[in-house]
Amino acid sequence: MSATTSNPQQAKKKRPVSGLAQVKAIYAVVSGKGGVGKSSVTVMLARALQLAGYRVGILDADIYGPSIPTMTGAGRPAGMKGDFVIPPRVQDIPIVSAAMFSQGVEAHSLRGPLASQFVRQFFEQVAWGPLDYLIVDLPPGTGDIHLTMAQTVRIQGAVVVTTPQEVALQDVQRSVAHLKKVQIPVSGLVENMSGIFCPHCDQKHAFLPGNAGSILQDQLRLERHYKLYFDPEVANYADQGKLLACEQLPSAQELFVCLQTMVEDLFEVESRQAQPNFLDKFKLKWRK
Amino acid sequence: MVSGLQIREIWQEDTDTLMIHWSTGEHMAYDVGLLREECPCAACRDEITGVRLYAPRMDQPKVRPHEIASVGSYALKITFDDLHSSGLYSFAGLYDLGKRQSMGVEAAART
Repeated sequence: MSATTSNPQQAKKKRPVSGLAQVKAIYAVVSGKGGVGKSSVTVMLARALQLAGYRVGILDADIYGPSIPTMTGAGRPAGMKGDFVIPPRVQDIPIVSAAMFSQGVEAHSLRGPLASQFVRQFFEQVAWGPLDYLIVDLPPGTGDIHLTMAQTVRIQGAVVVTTPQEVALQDVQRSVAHLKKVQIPVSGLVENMSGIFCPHCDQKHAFLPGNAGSILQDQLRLERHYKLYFDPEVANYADQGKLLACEQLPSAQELFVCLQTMVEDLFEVESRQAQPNFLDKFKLKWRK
Repeated sequence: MVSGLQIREIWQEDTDTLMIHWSTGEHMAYDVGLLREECPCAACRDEITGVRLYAPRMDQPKVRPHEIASVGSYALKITFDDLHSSGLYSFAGLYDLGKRQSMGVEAAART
């Protein structure tokens, strides 16, 4: 069965013609469960990467519940450059979201194929420009949008977000199973809301039962997971569209130390997984 | 099942054979007619029982690919010249198929 050939005609790599041509790596922020803070983690992770000196973009792929423009204050696209949408920039971070293409809180009631088309266009028809990292905020679940992303672009890794409770654990496990199926490695695991920062006593307190982060860490055989606490001041910044500046909050310093650690670990994992000899995107025409 | 499989090289060996050089270092040859028969889509394979629903017609020319393209970082999409293209061949599934073929060939060689 095993065979070699003296003159293999390797499939030619497809010439990049999409808006992602100058994007070095794409990471997805995922969770099977809704309401765990994927969007907040996406924005803060992007900011942590930027503070580490990297060029970052944010793609809000949550078509049905886009919240990143509210959190960041991102406006509408700046216009078109040929066939490409010019994304608005907040603190020099390009951001694209479905909320930018609707009026107010108008709902995007789209069936799967249309939602998939929307997301495909976000990847390929946006002038992302040169970026080190594009961070994708995915909706909860494992549906059309997740499949479209996995089939459209190569995802370097996923940051899985959970909250401590058992009710989150099961949904997140489904999400992890999906990632395995489409061969997206889990780069990092975040247990969000693992405590709440009390502005009155300046202490952190557990307010949700369970230890989903530790359980998932064991199951995924990860060296660690990252515990982020809930800070009402950060939530307030998100409501005001200032989440990309929340590292200025004294109470958020510890959050950012944790995020910076995660960023350093992600790079370490990334360099270990670097496999430049593998084919990326290719098309092979069969000769008759 | 080998996890994290990737393709180093893929090429057409002859009119009937697709070759894949896997990230494991192994080279595997695939008969393109067998690939058509093994199409994993819901029209060609019962989703519950896994029973194959497609059978090649002996009175028709052998089906061959028209085009083979990557899908994300986990699968191939093969468009055949009978215009069928709905199956996604996961790398893991293709690798297992290659292994099974290999064992079958070896078993046949021993008998």
